[in-house]
Amino acid sequence: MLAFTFSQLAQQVVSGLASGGIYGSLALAIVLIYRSTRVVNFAQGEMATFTTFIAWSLMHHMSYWPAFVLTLLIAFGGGVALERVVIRPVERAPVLSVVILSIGLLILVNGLSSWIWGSDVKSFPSAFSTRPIRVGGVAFSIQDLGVIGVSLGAVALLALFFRFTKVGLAMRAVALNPGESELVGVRVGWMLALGWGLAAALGALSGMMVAPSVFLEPNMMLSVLLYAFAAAVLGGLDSPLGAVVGGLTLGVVLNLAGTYVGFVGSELRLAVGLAVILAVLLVRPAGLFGRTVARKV
Amino acid sequence: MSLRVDEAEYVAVLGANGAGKTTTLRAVSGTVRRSGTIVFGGKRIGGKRPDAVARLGIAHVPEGRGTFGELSVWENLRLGAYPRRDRAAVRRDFDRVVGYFPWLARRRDQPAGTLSGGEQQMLALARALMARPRLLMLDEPSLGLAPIVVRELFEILGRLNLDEGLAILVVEQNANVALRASKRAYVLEVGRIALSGESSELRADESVRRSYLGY
Amino acid sequence: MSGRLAWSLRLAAVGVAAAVAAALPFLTSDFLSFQLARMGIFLIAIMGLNILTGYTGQISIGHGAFMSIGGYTTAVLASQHGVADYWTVPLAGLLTGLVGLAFGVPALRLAGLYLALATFGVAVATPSIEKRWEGLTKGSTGISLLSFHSNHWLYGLTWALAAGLFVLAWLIVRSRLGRTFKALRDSEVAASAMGVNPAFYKTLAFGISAFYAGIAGALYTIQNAYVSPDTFPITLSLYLLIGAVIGGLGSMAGLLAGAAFVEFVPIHASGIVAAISPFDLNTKSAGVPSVLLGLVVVVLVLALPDGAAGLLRRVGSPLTRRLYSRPP
Repeated sequence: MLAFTFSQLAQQVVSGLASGGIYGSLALAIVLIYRSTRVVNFAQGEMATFTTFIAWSLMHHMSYWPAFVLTLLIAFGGGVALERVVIRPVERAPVLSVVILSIGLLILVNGLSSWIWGSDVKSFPSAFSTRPIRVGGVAFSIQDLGVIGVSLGAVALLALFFRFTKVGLAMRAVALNPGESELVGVRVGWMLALGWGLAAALGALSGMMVAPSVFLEPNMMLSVLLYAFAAAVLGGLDSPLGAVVGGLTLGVVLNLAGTYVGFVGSELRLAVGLAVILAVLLVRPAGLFGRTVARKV
Repeated sequence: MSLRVDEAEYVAVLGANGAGKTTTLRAVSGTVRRSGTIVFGGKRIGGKRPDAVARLGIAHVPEGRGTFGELSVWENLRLGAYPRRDRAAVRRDFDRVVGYFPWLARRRDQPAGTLSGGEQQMLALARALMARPRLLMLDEPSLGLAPIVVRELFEILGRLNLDEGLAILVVEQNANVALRASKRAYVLEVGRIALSGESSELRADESVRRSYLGY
Repeated sequence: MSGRLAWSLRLAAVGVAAAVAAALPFLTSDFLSFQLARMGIFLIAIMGLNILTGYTGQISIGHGAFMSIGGYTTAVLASQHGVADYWTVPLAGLLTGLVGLAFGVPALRLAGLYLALATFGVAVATPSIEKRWEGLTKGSTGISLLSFHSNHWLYGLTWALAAGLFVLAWLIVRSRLGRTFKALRDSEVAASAMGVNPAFYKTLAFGISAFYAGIAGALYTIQNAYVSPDTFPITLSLYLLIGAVIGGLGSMAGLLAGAAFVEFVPIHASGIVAAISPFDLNTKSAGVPSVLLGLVVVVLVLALPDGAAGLLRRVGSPLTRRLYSRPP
């Protein structure tokens, strides 16, 4: 057991929050899609990787932030198109079919990333400098703080969108009751597509935030996906707030466990993620903020 | 089966459970597969999806009200006006609707699911009105409501029909109330129209009342 | 077609197939024997997965993890305890089966999507657990087996086992146990109303499918004479599920097709893509097999959304139905 100092704890918490922001963004993407279409998109991670590769290519031709924004837009468009073309036909299909479909997408997109950009590891620029900054006597990484800022900023923007715009309201209505939404004139299909678009953009954000530290390669997001699932399950699969809170919590817990709990070390983080999934699903499947749904007979 | 509602007309559809009343409404609003011809304001709407039908001016308040329980009262109303772009007119309609149901303004931030059954029915009606429909369809609005609330509800419907020229098609199990309120009525039996005519006549005819309407 | 005639035809077909199968290694290249043996291994794993997912409707995206348990059992027993590798196979199967039973208990509480999520997590996390548990697994270095066998021998062992396990699976499916499984899949509520204890049968299905996967994993390790945490990645679990689905969930006939698909499509993907694509693409890249496989899966599901029932089943069902229908 390592020596315990307050500043080290603070650093671990902050860097845990940064990872948590990344997991939470991807978790939010998963929850957005699950809420409206009841589909768990197993391909969300690979889509994020693919769009991060696009960002990488763009950054050879333009500076960071324009490429960042352009990538988000491209990801959004891709998500919308994907829903309309691939998901819409299986809207009413049984669960297993949709699971298989998203697994097929996972494999397909992963292969595309390899095919187009190769499987060698690439470095991805960070939006923030790697210099430390001292706050209250403790040194924090600007990058960590920046990632937290971007993730929470994106989440806040989305929250405002859902709360205050007409379209956001319509999307919430569709998630609650699609049949009823149709009766007031909401084009449910397009709302679902919008959801996929937003989710894809969130995934791109998550990918671009994680790439600088784990390096860009086709399998980059496989473990992030596991953590995102854990975060989403922890928070409640149908709760956006839960996804974010779950992500931040998980990030901090993983970091602290990795640092302070001897046998976990750095290799067993995945196992901790798995343990969270199993524990939540077995003890309280609705998660922290989700709704428990009675089984229909 | 052939049914007609004229402009500003108030028509009731009656019948026992399973007679097909709900399905009739669903066929019009597009929430169920249908065959045959459905014409609204001169346009054929038989192949249109429910959201397209709603945009044409048909408001369908389904059985069980269909309010969005987790959204606030105000958000439910706002959703009612979803397809509309004329912001000023929407605001005026909001005031008008509050005029019919004053308590809506007081409880605007309350989640709709916490309202009583009667209040939810009123909210569903108010939401439908926010769309400025030309035809208002209600499925069993009196279900589960106390008689005094039912009376209040139908009184408002009557005013809407008379003052604003809103065409109303109401499906009801409570034939007494429906016949008093409406101008014409159809009685369905196992998916067919068994009887139709002026509501006042149907109400006056004892044999009809006893054999078809159960009272 | 009368019952007896159908039976004798079917027996004849099986006899011919067996003869061809036995002769194949001598007629083909050594590498092809290797590939065919591996196809047999996948077939065994897919058969087990089929019983679980196809017959009791429990989705598992984690059967690679079960295979790795079997694989490591074999490796540890053979290399550290001197057990002859082929004897380890049934032991690996049994041990994995027990683990499957144990997993089946908590799995009961997870429905559909949640179970898929949980098994996905198991598949992703297991390699890292194996890396960490160095005392037993020797971590990332993995365990090497000392004895090598010819590809022909492996082919024979694998397909002999596959045939035996196929018969076993077939018997299970046709028996009352199988009908109980199917009843559970179609409606758990109805089945329990008729006195079936869902918990027992669903757990049993997990155990059986894990048993199959364990045997497959053991054979896989023997074939490679090596096992490491990276031998059974998440992609393997995904491929297994896809193989089961393509083969036709809930039917035995298509499983061969599913196994063949999983074994041969990725390897020949570059060739296939190069042959059919009008552009001059770099088809040798590592991503091509995945693209092809993923594309096929996506197209299949879009084409047959209600099925997950496999192309073969749809196309071949008049034929298979006649082969498998029971006399009235």
